[in-house]
Amino acid sequence: MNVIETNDLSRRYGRADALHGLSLSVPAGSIFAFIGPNGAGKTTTIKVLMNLLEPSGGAARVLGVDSRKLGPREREKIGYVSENQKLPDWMTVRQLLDYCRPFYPTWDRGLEAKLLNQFELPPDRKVRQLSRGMMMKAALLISLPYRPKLLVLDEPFSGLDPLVRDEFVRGMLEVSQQSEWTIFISSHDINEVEQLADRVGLIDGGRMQFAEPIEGLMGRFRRVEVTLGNAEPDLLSPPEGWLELERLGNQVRFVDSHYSPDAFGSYRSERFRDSEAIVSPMKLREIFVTLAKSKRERSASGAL
Amino acid sequence: MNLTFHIALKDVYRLRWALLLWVVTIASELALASIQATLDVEGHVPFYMSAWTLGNIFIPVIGYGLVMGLQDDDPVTEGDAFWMTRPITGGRLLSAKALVLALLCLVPVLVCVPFWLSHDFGLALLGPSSAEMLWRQGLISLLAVPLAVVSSSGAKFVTNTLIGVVTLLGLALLYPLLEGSSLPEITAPVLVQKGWLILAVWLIASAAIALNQYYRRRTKLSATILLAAVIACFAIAKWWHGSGALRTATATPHASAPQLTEVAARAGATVVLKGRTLRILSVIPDFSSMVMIEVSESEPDTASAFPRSLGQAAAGSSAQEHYLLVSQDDGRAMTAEVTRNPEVLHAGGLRYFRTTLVFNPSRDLPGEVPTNMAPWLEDAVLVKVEGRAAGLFRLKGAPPPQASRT
Repeated sequence: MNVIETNDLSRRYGRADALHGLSLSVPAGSIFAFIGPNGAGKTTTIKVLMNLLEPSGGAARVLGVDSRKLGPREREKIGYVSENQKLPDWMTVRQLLDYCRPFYPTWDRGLEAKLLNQFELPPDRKVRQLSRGMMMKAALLISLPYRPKLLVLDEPFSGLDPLVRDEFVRGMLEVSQQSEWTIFISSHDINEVEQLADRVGLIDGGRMQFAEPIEGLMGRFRRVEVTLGNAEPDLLSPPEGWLELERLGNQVRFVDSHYSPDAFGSYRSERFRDSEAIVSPMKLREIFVTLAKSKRERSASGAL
Repeated sequence: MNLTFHIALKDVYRLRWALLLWVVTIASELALASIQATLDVEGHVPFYMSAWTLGNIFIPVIGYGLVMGLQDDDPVTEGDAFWMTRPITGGRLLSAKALVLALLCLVPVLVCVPFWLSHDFGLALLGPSSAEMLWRQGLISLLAVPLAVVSSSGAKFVTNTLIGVVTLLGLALLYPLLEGSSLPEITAPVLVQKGWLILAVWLIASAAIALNQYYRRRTKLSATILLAAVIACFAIAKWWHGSGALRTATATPHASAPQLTEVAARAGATVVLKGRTLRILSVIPDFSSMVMIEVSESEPDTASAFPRSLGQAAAGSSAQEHYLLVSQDDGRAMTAEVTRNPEVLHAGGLRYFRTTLVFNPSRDLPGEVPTNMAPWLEDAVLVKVEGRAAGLFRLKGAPPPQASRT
């Protein structure tokens, strides 16, 4: 079952399209990293999913309900933490907890106490007096004790120093082991989400580039460095999945986005005869950068 | 319902200091008004001015600002306000805010009730006075609500208020330039009709804007409704000629039966009766047989039709009043020539004013007139007669009673 499902979703701000035909599905129990550069449409997608914005076209379903009809019953099962969220900053952390608690029938006071302790938040300090990292923790603190079925995190690492990021990720991992939930985390901080996510989706220019299990993605992307022998390779019509193709002397480098040992082996024996190849796995961050660069190049050549 | 109260309690807690300030301001106005009423002409001015400033500037402004403060924590414009991400529906939030708004309207009444009781307000006066007080804060809230719900922050609310003030000034300047009835031509009943119609239009527009914002958050639509309401109100003010189908209530003075208030005719003597206070500030008998009495008075501000702001226009001058100086020793009496100080202070549901009464014993006192009036005055009482039938208590040969100020 998919906890989030969008079909041909679009959203306009005046004449500017923020989302174009976005289709995406997030299976229950997954930790889905929704990555993309700044201005790609991540926050807009999340706002539409949370019914903070209405879609201009298409549809989104969250927990099986049309996002435009999300009511208190569904919101009781959704946790939402956003870098842009305005918490009632005049309250102390304790008052914030006291205020939020009655809205959730499933609120677990034991988990609340444990999280408060784990996040090391001063309960009597006003939210406006918390550092940015602490404020994000406070937002998380009021989004976890009711054990939401879906936790939506919009750029949770933004503005956090590395130490706090590590704490935040560690906290998330610890809590995720205690609950069965789906996490939808948007970020442009790929290193952090790589530790957390089991699925990843890339959005750019309001369009979904891909969405798949992170293992599959990392399995199909390889950086390849071929040291040529005497034979001259045919590089005029490379396979479609080769990105950042470049030749430096007798070396050819590229990223194979559809790597399979068999396919690459047969291609190599066909076009890179007498060559030596080094095939290295890539980190998510490298994959993201490669995709972003190749898209920019495609756009530039299209414009020309 | 519990969650509605939970949200309302949160708002009351958040506004607690502003509410306290408001309560203190209202209490201060009552205290200052009471103090100024006991002081002589020179001494009362600073207290009068302070009470006027509190009552006409600070209390309404704080009341207006409180509506903004109530809305500010849970903005209903487009965006990701905290409440929108929680299991709170627009309807529940609106109910909670309406509850606190009702409380805000009640606060001035609650502060004034002990004060009114100390002024001998009976149930018959507590009701209209409370209604008048609720009406005042209700009007302020009605002005503030549509602006508050289309503002995403306190700063935007202030900006929108300034835009509203400038718009009103612009419309006021435009009013005489356009063809149509001008203010002096408008009769009192038509003026009242206009007032009620404008109020009805504004009420409907405010309700539509609030519902739209809380349920759908279409701020542009709300702004359009607001603009349309302003134009409609202006059109009614300028071009509505009145309709026989719309009946306006005729003003009924509160005390239609004659009411007699009696106080010993000596400086410092005070009587409080059914909301009316009569305080003798000075009694000056001179040897030319004239007696001058300075009186400080207060009476319930509901003497004309409800609400006072609209009722005054239609009330006219149907109530009458006059003053008698009666000797308890020889039973003789005379009527005063009345001079009212134009300063009238409206504070805490009462209106305060000062009256100079001049008695001419040689002209009005039957029989032999004492050379020195002082001993005669020792046993005299000042009687104020008011009400529609005040004329029944007119002394033989005395001039007819004066119409009272309403």
